[in-house]
Amino acid sequence: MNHLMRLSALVLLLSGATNGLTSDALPSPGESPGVSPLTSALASPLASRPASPLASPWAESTDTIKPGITATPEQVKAGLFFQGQLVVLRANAPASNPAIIIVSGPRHDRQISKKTRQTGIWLNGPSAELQNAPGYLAVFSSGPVGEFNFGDQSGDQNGDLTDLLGYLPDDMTDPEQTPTSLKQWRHAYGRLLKARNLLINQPEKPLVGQHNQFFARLMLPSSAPTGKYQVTLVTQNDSGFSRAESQFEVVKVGLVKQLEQAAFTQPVLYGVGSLLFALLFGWLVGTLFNRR
Amino acid sequence: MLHIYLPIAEVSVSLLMLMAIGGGVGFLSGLFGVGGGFLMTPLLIFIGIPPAIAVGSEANQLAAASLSGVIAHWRGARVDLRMGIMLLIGGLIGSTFGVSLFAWLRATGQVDLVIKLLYVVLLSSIGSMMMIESVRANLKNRRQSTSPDETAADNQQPNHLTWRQRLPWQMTFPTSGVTISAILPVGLGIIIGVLAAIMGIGGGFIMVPAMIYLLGMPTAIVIGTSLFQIMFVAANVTLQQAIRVQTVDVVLALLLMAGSVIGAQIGARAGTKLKGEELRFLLALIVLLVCAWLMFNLISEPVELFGMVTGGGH
Repeated sequence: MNHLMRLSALVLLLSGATNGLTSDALPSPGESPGVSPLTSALASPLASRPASPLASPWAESTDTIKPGITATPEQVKAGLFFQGQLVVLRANAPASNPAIIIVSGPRHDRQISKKTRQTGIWLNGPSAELQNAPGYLAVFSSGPVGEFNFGDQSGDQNGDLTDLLGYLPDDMTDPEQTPTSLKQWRHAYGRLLKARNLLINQPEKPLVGQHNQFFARLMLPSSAPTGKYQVTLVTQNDSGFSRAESQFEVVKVGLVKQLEQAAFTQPVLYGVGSLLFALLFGWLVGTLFNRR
Repeated sequence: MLHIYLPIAEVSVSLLMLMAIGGGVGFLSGLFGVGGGFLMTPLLIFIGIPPAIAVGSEANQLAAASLSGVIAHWRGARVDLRMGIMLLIGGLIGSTFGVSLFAWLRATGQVDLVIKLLYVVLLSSIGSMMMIESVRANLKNRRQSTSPDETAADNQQPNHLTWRQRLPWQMTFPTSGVTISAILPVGLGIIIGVLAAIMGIGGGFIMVPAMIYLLGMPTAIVIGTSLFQIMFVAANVTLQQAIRVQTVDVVLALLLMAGSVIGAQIGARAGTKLKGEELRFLLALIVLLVCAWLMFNLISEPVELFGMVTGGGH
């Protein structure tokens, strides 16, 4: 009975998600660079499906499906004209079961501070250091994230996924309130990422199930940090959780890569070169403009 | 609109927007003899460039723009080399001390506040002083139809002569036509060097009025001499930023340069068509506007109360 109710709820959910897919949730192939035609083709037939449990014949024998996830492309190349890139996430998982996809960017220790008003002037107040914080975070789920209570069975023994979900900003948190716990500082950090388009939290909308496959389209902004991105799929069934992982990478290429390497591996040469180039440029223009 | 991905800043920005910013600030640089860092850095941050990268890269373009401007003024015999070297000696001493002071302020966690307060105090006092003086000089010129080359120093010389002439190590600066103690330009250079190191700017918007009112130099000579000093300061900052914190984005600097060197040339030519008091009035107006904007930022509630604390650069 419990399984049947969950099945109905999820199919209703996915039907709603499909409607969102064709309208505002996902751009059309012509709107964004790097859109996979495959994704559009797979997504479109589902758009007209009625919101009924009967409309999901693939939701049978779901426990036999082995979860898996891929990211396309596996390497996002940031060249001189890079403006962001669409990454398509494709997952195999029982369509009837709740599922969540978490994408996390390169992780580093970050320090965050809050401004406070003192004698009429806003100045930096309390601060906190967040260890191993993600530089990018995207969460796609078939339902509210709060419903996913990962336990030991989810393969999240280290608390990694729970830790990542802790960065999702809580809309109910008063932004004026000074954080008193690590949880609140993480929410504040998540809000900062979101303001920079580096955090996406879309429960229910973009995750579409069809033929036991889920799709999510991830628009990486140009400000997305370079490095490895971990993609994790977790599905829940009666016997517990199943987890699958994949990854993709944002790398600099061409001139961009060469300049970055020079700046960090040969800073003296890079600095002197930049300066000489600037002086030469200034001299050339100054001379050209002042020819008599 | 064509966008370019910046290799060190790691963001994609509009090519035309960068060139327009460079051109606008370069024009002001050539017109007033100020580097424009006090305008350029906030504008770059506004369009999404990380602050540390904005400061480092802006210094690189500043070196190009100021050299371009110096050439324009040099050909017009409007650079006092002797005075520029005196200022530079002070600048090197001051900036060396300033870097240590900056490190100490950063350790206290309030360097942003100190910088903004310093800006407000300096800009409001300098801007007000220039505005009042330029209006007075303009009114006086209209009444007496005096020469357009008459300087503020000329107007105020009787008040300055007494204490300036009592100081030791008097030097003559023929290009500027003044005889003053070497302590004054070196001291001014030290103060500017400290402020430049703390505030991450060339210091022209402080130095130009100080050279006019404190050293008694003619406005036309001040601009070229100021650019001469700024060129060296910017070159030093570029090297320091590139070697110590890797915050110089050469692609960003190149695009800013392309706009600013052209803007600086146009500004330098426009400057020769304006009277000294008119130049000072316009600069005072810009200085006071920037000051008002900074004051507003200090007292109005920020849109986002939280911020990332970043390392490197300033």
